[in-house]
Amino acid sequence: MKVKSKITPPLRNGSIFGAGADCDDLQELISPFIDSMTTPEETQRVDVHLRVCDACQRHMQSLISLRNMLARIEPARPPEDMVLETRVKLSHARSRNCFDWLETQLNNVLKPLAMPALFGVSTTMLFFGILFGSLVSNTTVMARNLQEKPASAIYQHVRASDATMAWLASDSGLKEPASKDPFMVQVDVSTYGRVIDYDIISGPKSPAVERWLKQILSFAEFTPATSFGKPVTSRIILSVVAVRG
Amino acid sequence: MRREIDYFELERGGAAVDAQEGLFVLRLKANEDAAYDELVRTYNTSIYHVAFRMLGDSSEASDVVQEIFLKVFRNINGFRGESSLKTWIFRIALSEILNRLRWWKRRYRFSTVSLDDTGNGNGNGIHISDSNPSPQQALESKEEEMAIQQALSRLSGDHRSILVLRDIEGFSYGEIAEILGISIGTVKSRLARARSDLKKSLIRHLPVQRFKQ
Repeated sequence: MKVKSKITPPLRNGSIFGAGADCDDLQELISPFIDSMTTPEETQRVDVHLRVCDACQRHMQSLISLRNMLARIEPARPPEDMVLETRVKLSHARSRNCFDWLETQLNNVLKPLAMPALFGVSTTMLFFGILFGSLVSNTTVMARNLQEKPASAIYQHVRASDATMAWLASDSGLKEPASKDPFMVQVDVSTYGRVIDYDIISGPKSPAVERWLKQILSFAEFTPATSFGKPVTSRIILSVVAVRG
Repeated sequence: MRREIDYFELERGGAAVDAQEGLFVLRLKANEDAAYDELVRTYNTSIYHVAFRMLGDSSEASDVVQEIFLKVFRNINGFRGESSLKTWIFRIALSEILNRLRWWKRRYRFSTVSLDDTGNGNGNGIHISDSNPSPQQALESKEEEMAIQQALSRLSGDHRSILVLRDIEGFSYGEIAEILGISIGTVKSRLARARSDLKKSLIRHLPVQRFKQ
């Protein structure tokens, strides 16, 4: 590293730093000189120079006057509302800052929990959805004979209409019993509640029974099963028992 | 109010003051209401004074003071105590004021300064202390006030700030160096040039010059 050295000439009154010395160089020292901010060496140089240089003497005097003039300036009084406005603005900024801080802290705490919580809530909702769906569906089956039809049921079973049940139970329905033995019939029901097909799954399969069943089922009406409110084809098992009065 | 400027003021120090200030800074960092009230109460006048001398407009000065306090609040957590709180606050203040000044100069290249503006809107201009002045003195004082404000407004931002800090606010060279982020050597030379420039503008009002002429 290069070091630029400055050789200070020896102090000699009236020679180097006298009237003939470079005033520009020394005048820059006069400003710190009046503030007592010069080094002892600089102070001595300025002192010596001022004794012989009227121009620099005047310069120093004028700087002192200038400094005193500026020092006499009274401080400008702030507008009365400035302090109040400043306090209000600060207060707003601080409260906003508190809110931001709180929000950040909450985010820091909640963000790691957000995904598990969301997963938990979704799973719970799914579970309860299925549970309630099945409960409602069961209730509908149990309350087959009730008039109320829960609208929220996901699946409703097929049912024989009230008119059909009444007709089967009446004398006209089972006027001539086809068989003395009970039998079970599996019936496929269309979306319109009419019989599509049937099959005797237990009991006698005589032509008389077949004929009787065809006659019965061709007039039977069912309330079709529904899935999400829409009628669907379904299957119902009828158990026929002849009751003699 | 007459302010005495201690030109022999050295760097401030003292463990008691530091401890007290440290406690105050902690209260500010803890967002304590009373601490912020105290902060505004302590510094609003001096900051406003500097801002007003630099900008020459009371509403601008008032506006910038509010911005300065908000900046202090936003940055207080970054204050490490490497300088005094006052120096740190004035560093923020000068930075904000010089920014405002540069913005102003760009926007209003030929701005004018209201000589009747005092910073408090009561039309008294700069006050030079003089108890019971005669009519002649009052006239001279008024002339001086106008001349100082005009002369200050003609200086560059750097020269204006160093003069305001040193000769009007009475900061030490060390504090000015910290506030402006320059060396003490630069403070000395810049202040010397600023004073010379101001002297040229105010030569008519300086008693020595008048006497010599």
